[in-house]
Amino acid sequence: MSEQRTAPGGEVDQVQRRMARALERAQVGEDRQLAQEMREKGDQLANLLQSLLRTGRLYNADNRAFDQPVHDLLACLSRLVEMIGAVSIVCVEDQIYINDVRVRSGDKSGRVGELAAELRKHNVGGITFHAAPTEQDLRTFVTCFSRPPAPDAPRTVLSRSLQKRGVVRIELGGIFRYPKVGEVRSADRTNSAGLLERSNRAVDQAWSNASAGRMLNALPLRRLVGEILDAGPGSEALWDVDPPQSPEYLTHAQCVNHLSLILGKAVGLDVSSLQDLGVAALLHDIGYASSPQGFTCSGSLHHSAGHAVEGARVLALRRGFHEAKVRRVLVALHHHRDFNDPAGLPPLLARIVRVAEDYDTLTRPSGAAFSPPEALAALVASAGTRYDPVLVQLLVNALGRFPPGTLLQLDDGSVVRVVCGVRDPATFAKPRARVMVLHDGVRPDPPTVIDLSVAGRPTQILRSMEYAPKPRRYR
Amino acid sequence: MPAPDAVSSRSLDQSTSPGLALGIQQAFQGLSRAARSFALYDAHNDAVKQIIADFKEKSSVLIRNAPMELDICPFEILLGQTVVFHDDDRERSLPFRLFRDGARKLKFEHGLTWSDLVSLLEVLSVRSISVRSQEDDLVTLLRKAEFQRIVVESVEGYLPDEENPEAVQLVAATMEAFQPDDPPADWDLPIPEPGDGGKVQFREVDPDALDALRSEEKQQAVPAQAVRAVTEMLGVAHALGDTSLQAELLPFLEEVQEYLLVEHSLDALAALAATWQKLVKDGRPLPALQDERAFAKLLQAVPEDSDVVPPNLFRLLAAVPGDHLRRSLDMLALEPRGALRTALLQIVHVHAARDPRALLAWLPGASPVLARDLFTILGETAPDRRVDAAFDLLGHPDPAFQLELLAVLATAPRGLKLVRALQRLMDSPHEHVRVRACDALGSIGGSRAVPLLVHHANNLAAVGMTPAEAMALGQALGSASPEDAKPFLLEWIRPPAGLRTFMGRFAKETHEERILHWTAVAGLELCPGADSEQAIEAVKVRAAAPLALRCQRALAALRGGDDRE
Repeated sequence: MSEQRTAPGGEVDQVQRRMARALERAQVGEDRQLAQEMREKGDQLANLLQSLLRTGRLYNADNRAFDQPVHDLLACLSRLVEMIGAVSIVCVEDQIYINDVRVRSGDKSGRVGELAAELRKHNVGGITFHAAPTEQDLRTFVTCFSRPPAPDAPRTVLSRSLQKRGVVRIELGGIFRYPKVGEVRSADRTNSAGLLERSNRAVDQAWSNASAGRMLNALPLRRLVGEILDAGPGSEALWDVDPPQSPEYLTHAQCVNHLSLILGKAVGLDVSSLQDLGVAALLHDIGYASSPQGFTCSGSLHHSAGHAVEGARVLALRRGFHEAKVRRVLVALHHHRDFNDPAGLPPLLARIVRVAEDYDTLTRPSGAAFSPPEALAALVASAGTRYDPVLVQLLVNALGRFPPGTLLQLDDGSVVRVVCGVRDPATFAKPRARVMVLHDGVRPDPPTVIDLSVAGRPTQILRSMEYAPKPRRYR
Repeated sequence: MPAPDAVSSRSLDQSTSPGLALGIQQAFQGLSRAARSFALYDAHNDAVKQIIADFKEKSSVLIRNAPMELDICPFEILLGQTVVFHDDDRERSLPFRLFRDGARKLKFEHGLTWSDLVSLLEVLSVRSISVRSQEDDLVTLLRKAEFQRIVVESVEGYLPDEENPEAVQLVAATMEAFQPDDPPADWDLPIPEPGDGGKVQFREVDPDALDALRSEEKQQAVPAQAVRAVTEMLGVAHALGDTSLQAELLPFLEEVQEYLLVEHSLDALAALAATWQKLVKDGRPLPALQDERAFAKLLQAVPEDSDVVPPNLFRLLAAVPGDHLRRSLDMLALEPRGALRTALLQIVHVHAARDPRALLAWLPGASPVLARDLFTILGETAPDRRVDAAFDLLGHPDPAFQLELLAVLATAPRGLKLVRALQRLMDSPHEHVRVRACDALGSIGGSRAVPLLVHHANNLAAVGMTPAEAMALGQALGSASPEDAKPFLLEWIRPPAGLRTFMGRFAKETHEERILHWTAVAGLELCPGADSEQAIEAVKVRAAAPLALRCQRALAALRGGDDRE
């Protein structure tokens, strides 16, 4: 190397040191044992599954030839389920993923792998094992799979066939491919309801894993939070949506996540911190995933305190250092603590989640069932004692006089639901709103969103649609 | 594969330049090589440094030619329609890794900087060592990198690929049996008691207040947060008397301590160690400190570009097992600078006080600069061992240090070893060291020193020496043994006799002869006797002014009177 090349000297030294640091940091963040086992077991699963399906074409499922492969596959799946919960094996072009983690590459030609080719016969691209299947489940699965595919909707037919035979732990998925650059995402991915639905499923999966004592996979949640950030947490699309029918603890998690991200953005946190915040908000109550009797570490605490400790424990147990994990643990541990707690100031992300959580608890039906403006006023009243006053003001500035979700009766008798936050200080009390019913109780057709800064004067805040005008009934 | 029509006209134009394509190819070769280098070499290896330097040089084409848009294909990178980089080796192919991880387009924007390229290299390097983080994939790492002038278009996950999607046949309904229990009915209750209705109005938030909030979550705050998380969790376990929770938290604590070592957060590590001592109380130090390797890791936290030694360093090191003295000496051999050097010397100081043997054994091989510091430490910690060490350090090139060694040697027991040591210093390239060494040899050597000094004088006279050194030699000879020295001294200034005398009147004295006259005069001054005086007189007669003056002084001294005539 010439003198000229090494001339940057100090600068290159600095880069080298920075790289060394980054690599060490990454290595500290790795759970090598889990990663290695995932790789090995995932690869093994792909091999065993492919071999079993191929053998199914030659022998009946009760043939002795199946004994060993079925036994091996069961052992492999049981271990994977024990480690990561529901196991999804997905073939994408020439790659194979286990729960979003790539475990095998195809060859240079990009040819679809053999397992993928086998699955494609029934128009299947992925299989999810929601729990470790029984031996009988597997034999049935192989039997059904070895039959000629139905001419129409072969995957659906195969799914029904499996269910009819009592195989309920195995779910079949369609063919997948990588998206292309600039490709418009499918409706499911751009639609806010779809996003919330996927988010609910991911949180539910996390709860399920926590409940069963399995390892948490934060990556899908992280990606979902990334999507919400891309959409803009304050955007109208995310407010003007009918939440999916889900258990209240899931909608609570989504709401806390949504509000936390709004607050985090208002604070000006960087993208990485916002992602950490979002995941922490989604998982802040995960301590409840263990039943109160099941709290392993906080049995002597009431569940309101116990779930915080339990949640922090569950989140801390996941191996591999990552600042996101630290933040999650702190949020879980502190999300019920007051701003002026004599024990010390809770961490910022926990203070954010605290504000978001109490706002939702004040508004949710099984909580105080306040209207959004009442809930916001309650937060303002406790700013500086229970809540960080700066965060409360930021929330006020983001949500406005009539926060999203507020039901307003207008001077013309119609009832509207607010669908956006504050656009600018001038429209602080004049949001955009969806007309729920007209003065006569009839839903508008087509659905209409109006801008209260242009037309419509609120006369009353309603706590629920029960108080809205009802259509007149004629005999 | 990206659609060709997605390529901008700008990049199409650029693709026509073969020179640019070649430059980009070399830049990506450099990037690929640099990213892979960490899988092949230790990150601190010199080879890595050279590879980074090479990448820096080659990457300038990207900086000069930004903006540009590059399409990532499984084994190729395209600029417009032109393949600017190709590598179909699945194990090492940069485009393959990028494509596989979801990157589809790489845009270098105008104003691209080396700093951004370093961030890109960082992300790719982390991926190339096959670390699998459960938190981050390439896409989240790229997002986190927060490039200023690089945009990576990427895809996450995969999409359904059916022209006519089959009806969704969810088995979710039958999955309820596998779902977790709902939380208790009164979860998150009681409801926080609502305060009296506060006034909800828009108020600008002070930007300073926002700055303060953001600073709580800046990267530098993570170590303290990590310690807080572990400390509070251990605190809960302690308060509940739950030893199983404490045991469960051990891996978390170990991760945090490793992270703190990587981040060089010694203050946070010390806080964690204190918590450990307080709450765990098993008498053992923090697990990370129980490993000998912690020594090097802790010292990596000490900066070379500052003089401030982290205050908690020594407290943490105290818990680490192993031979700190030897490790410090090994590290000092690499010639560290700044606070790291200071810290290592302090460690040596502490350990040498307990047992200086390793230091003594190590000193002879030490570099000159280090040797002097270590010799000083030895003087402070084990002064009685300095003489031994001084014998080993005679080859030190620093004249001031050589004088220091001479001073120490003055206390050494007389004997052959000392004489040889002084002889060695008499060969010093520095005159004042030679002079002092001769002086010392004259003082202690006795008659046995005379031949050595004579030999030395002859040698120096042949190659040239100053009158000052010549006089010093003479005095040393006179001091060592006047009786034994006198014949040699007289010989150096004996007047020519007979034919030689006659011829000598016309011959010019050599420089060698003249300089030895200085030696002889200074030496004879210490050798009383008429022959000494006569000899000096003879020199005085034919010498030039300075030597004549010296002769006069010598004669005065010999005669015990005034040197004025």
